[in-house]
Amino acid sequence: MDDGLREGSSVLATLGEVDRLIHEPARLVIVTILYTLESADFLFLLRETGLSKGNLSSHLTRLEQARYVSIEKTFHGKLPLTVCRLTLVGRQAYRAYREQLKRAVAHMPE
Amino acid sequence: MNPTDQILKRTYRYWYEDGLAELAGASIFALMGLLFYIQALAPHGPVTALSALILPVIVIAGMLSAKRIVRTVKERVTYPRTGFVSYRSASRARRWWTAVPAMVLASLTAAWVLRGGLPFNTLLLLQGWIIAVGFALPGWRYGLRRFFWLAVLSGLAGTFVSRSGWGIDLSDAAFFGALALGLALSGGLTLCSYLRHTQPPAEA
Repeated sequence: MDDGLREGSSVLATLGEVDRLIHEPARLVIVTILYTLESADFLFLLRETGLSKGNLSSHLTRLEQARYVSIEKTFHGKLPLTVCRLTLVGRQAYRAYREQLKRAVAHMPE
Repeated sequence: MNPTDQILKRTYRYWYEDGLAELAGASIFALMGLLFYIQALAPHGPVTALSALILPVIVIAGMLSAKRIVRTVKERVTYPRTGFVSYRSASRARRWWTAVPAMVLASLTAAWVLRGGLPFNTLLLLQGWIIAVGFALPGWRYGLRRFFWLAVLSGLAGTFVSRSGWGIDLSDAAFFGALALGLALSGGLTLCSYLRHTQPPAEA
């Protein structure tokens, strides 16, 4: 295999490593918010992301299915809340995604 | 600024969005101002004799209870309107990074004062600008412009009272009174604006 082809496939491999579940812009915003917090409720995420209720709900469901996010319906005093938090798996995935992205971007030309 | 930074700043700024934290700070500064005012009025009274005990109680108990009170009010006012968040507690390393320089600075200042090396008007000036830095830091970290105005107020009030010739108690009373007023104004206006621009979501 020539050098050009080898380099090309290595770049493709680096980009392929990027976690596509987190890489989607709306989910990246959700995960970044939850990464900085202990937990946040649906209303806060709705406001901060600017997504519609349906959209946010479907992104959260996908993150929950991947076990990146845990969702709990609870009460805070008398206030009903849908509380979302990033799981340990989600935190590790976010850190890994950050490293993958750094590696991928480091080889991009100026 | 990159978008991730913006998200982080917005998330942390949310704590200050309703002005309640400033109103709580205003109450603590008002109590401190009142204590110094009572000392200025009655330099040999019982409050003055116990002030070394009362002041730390106001500061420590005030800070502990303020956080709890702010959370309780947020549960009624803020969370139903714009959502609930729970912040991660600072890591042990980060706590040390904050606490150690603060303790070193406080010890050095105390040692300097006790040795008579620092005249009280210099102390008032220093106090004003140290608190100014305390306002400016979150202002810069979270992009809160009104905190820079509070920093300017603290610096200018400290400078003013250090040159006033009013004596230490009355100067401190005026300084903390000015800070309490500034914080109450800033927090009150922020709370009014927050209430005007947000509504609890309508039930589906």
